[in-house]
Amino acid sequence: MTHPKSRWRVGFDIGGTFTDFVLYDAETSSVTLHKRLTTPHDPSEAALKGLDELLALRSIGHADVSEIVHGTTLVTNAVIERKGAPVGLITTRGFRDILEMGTEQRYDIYDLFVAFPDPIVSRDLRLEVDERMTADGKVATPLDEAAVRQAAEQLASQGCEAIAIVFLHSYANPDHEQRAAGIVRAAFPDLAVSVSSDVVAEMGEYQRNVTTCANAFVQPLMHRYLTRLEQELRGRGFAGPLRLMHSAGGLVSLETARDFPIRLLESGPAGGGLATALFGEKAGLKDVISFDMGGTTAKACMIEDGRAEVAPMMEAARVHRFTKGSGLPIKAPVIEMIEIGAGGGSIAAIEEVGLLKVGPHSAGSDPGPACYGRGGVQPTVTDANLVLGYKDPRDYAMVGFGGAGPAHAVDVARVMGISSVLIPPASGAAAALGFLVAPLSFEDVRSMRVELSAGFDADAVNSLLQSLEDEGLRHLDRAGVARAEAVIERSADMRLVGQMHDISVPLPGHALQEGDLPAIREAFRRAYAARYAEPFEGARFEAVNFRVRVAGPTSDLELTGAADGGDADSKVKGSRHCWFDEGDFETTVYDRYALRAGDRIDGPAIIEERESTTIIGPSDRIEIDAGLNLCVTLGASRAAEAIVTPEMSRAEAVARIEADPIGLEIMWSRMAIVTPEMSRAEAVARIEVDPIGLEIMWSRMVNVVEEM
Amino acid sequence: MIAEAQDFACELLDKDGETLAHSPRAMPVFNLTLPRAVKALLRAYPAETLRPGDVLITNDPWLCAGHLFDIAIVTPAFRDGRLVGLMGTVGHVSDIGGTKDSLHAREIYEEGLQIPPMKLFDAGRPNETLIQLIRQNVRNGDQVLGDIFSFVAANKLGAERLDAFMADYGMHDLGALAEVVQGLSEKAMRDAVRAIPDGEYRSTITNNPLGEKISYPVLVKVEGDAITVDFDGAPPQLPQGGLNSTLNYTAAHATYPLKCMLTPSVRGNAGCYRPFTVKAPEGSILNPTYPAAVNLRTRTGWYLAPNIFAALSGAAADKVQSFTGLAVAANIYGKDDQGTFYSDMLFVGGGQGGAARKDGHSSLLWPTSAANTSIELMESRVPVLVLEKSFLADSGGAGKQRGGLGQIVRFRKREDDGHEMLVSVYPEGVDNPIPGLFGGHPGGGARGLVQGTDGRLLRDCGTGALVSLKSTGEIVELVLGGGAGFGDPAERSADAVARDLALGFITPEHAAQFYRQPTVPSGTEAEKQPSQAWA
Repeated sequence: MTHPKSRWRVGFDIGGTFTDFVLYDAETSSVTLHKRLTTPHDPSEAALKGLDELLALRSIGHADVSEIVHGTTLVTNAVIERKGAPVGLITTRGFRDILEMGTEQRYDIYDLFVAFPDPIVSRDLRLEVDERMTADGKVATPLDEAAVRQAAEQLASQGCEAIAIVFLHSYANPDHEQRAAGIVRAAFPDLAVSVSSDVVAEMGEYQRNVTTCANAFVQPLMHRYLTRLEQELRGRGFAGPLRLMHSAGGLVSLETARDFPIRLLESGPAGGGLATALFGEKAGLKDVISFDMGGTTAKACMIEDGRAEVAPMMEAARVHRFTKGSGLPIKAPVIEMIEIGAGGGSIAAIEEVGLLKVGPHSAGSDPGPACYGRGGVQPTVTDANLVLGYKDPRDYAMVGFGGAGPAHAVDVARVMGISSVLIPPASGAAAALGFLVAPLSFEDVRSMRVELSAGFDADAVNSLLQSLEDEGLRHLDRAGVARAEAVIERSADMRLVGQMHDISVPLPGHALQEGDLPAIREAFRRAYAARYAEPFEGARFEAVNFRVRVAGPTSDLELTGAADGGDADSKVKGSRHCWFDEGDFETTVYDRYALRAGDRIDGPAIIEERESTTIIGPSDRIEIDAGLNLCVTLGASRAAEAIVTPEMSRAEAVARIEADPIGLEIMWSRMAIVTPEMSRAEAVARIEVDPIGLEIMWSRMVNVVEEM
Repeated sequence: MIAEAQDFACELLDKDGETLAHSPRAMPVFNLTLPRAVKALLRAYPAETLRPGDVLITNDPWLCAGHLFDIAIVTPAFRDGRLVGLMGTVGHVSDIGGTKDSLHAREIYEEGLQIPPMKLFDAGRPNETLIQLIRQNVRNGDQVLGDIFSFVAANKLGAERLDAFMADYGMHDLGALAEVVQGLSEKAMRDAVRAIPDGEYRSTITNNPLGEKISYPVLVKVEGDAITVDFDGAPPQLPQGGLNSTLNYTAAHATYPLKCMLTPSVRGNAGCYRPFTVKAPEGSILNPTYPAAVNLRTRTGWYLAPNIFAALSGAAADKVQSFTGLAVAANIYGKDDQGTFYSDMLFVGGGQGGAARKDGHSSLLWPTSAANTSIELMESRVPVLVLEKSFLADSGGAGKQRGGLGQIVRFRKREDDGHEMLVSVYPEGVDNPIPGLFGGHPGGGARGLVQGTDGRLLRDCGTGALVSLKSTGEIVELVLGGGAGFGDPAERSADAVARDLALGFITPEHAAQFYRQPTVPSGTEAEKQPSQAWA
């Protein structure tokens, strides 16, 4: 499908505090921004009002808008605040507690009192029925259909509005789940039903349970919301498609969003990721990293070769925001984001060992790092360093947006050794803008363990891939994309036999046969070597999950026109006295809306716009490009500063390190990253070796040691 | 073994063998035994003699992690030709030779291959003699050498990362940084110890590894900013069964709970442990002399932490927890129709002990930090069918704060193919109820049984047995112990009791036996349950 060449398109993003609107005018390649406080009791209220106001700014009506693209934190908030519907779970006899047992893992080895999120479905609403599949999809115990009906009756009578159905090994054979769903739907057409083999047909009973129950939990809410929103928009004369942004950076139809609302969990940040890629592309940059900072947290997203990486799962509702394992594992594709606390983690760590003597602070509630005075950005930088430290984004350009992003991006980049920063126009509504370049897309997964060697069951693999493709195309078809226009990407999660860590490897588009194996193995070898180490010769490979992503065409967006149409007479608004690392400076303040392509500004400087402020240091400079981006070139880098030199005595060196608590915390946390990295290498290298000959293994080990 | 079980730990140490950083998720006691192994290796191969390409190895239980399966690999890290630090990995390898019947071993010679401090590589040159010896003396030598290879690879990566880190800061050695971070961590620990009133705190705990109870007294002496843990009175080392815990392993299990109690959020390094001294009489089960058999030392060492919590409960009631039901790893192995060997491990946890601030968590792996086994994954690897994996009602020990529930796992062979399947069923905590703190009751006990499909008892595995399954009619039932309660159950809020009843965590009979019956309308006398943070 190509989008109708109509003039006006709208993106809007319902965030926790604000709802952001972007109106794109294809004729002038310009955008109009608008913002309104979110109305949590009914988010559609602010959305509809704000939309009215936005259109009024350009004196157009709803009927003039060709498409509306929408992202929302509604799903996230419902999961975090537990404001979804009462959910019941129907599951295999003997396994109702899987949802609550989780991984049984203490994610912090020193915390005796590790806390976990409450299960999404409480134990009294988790019912078991007789049925059982084996790992290879054979029926071990037939489905007790009467028991399914009784369970549904019981759950309905207990007030459940949604029912999740999760049976063991349903990824291998969904028949029991589908039949059970049919029974529940027939008996209770008003209940929302989520079926694990539809939501995420992937091996791993705990994660599949959580994901399916979370989907059921938000389904009624999203259904009501989307229905109302659509009715209201139609009532106002909007006749085009309304589409929803999902976490992996694509759009889906309303129907698909209603079926799988859990896929919308990170729709806002995904929009930010797409916007980053867009800004980068327009500025001729393929490798960029975003620094998207709001009130209390910042997010970073790495765009490599124009594309954000999509991860197969995320953790929601963490008890400890930055601690892996403390949240609910949600298996749904999501643009990979690195969340960076605004100094919260670092401040706590410094305090614990008694280094921090200054206050006041409270990591969770303060409105960002501004309260830390002139060193305010440093804790954020600490955390940024901590999470990005080993990724080495030095050759990347940083794109700063969000309310606080432009103010801190330059400093963060400086510490990370990044030398150029882009502050795009419309930086306050980047996510909503990102929605407008998203293609319609749907990714689906199914687990099947297949060793990819001569004689593998190609028919089984091909029919699985075909069914995933058909399902994806069905979702695109719902949104009006014709089969011929769809781009299909197929991949497999592969690993060495015996290993636990898998890597996504692209598969050819045609039906697989034995002749394809060398190329697939080579692709795996390359990906594996890039991430870990060269797999040893003779290693056996297997696929565990197959994925198919189906996508429509990508919309193009030109951003050559004005952003927000500012036309102030004077570029300079005044000056302010500011402190920088280099000393005190009288610093000129510029009006961003008055700056034009080709303008150059030498630092120090402050560039103000309505929703954010950009600050550059004395050695930095800015050039305004044709897209009205502020292109900052950093003069001084702080990254490779020698803190301890060979000439210093031990006492001097110790004093030097202790003099800068935050610098020490950065150093300490970066040093501490070494050991988890080692663990990862160990876990990956450790495999079940076949008797393929010790010599190969051994020669490899000798090579490793010789390289040391 | 499978990497997912996380039965290994990685560390970065300074050139004196003092820990600077360790992997955050690992077997916690590995983190504490590894530096001891490193120092022993440095005694054998002094730092100034080490060269790039050297890789050191040992599995001596008295120098490393307490039994032969745990091998330490240590690699010196150089920068500009100077030794700057050491990378260490210790992990459990899949086999180490010796008897499979550990309960009958009388000397370490029967428990497998001993590797004294040696060089696995000498300036990049492999020690072929040692390698051939390892390969010949363990089952599935390729696999074991593969495990060792992965440790070497981890150290190599660590050395690279360390080099990059030092390059970023223009650092030529780690001395000053080590002094600062270890010093700060030590200070934080000493401050925390000082907050505990000086005194001599005592407790005794029992275990039941062989069907006969053994008692372990402990004295925890808090003096100013230092703590001495003294196991005086520990029984003599056992002549048979591999239950002896070397002093290294004892010290690790004695100091780990102190770190958890006192400075849980300070990153671990050597400084955290400097204020602690651990003593155990020589020749005792907690400090056995060579060549005692030691292979099953977890069955002893795992009882030290709860005993220390109990000892310190009077001095720091808010920092301790009652006895936690212990984890079990059941090995399942055999050969399929094609004669191919299969094996996997069912790893499951018991109920956590209650604590002043909250009920114990139900099903939590302790004292490891590994994740449990996915049933779907396990069933795709070995031909078993799991019939049930659920919380066991009433297994959480009664208390003001209830112990977490233990769990019951039942499984059988998937096919009636006539092939034998072997399962190691070693429940920990059989017939050995351990009371909770401040009047809390013991959690439900552990057990291992084999039953017929009709529920008839075919075999009681007692405190441990290797079970042979030949038909789908034999069902293994493994019960994990529940956590002990904390505080007098009479003080438990009526709301909490009502909620436990509604959720089926306790039965009406259990409630009648241990708790005040809810006589007031729910909510009026309610004590606030700890709320979950959703931030």
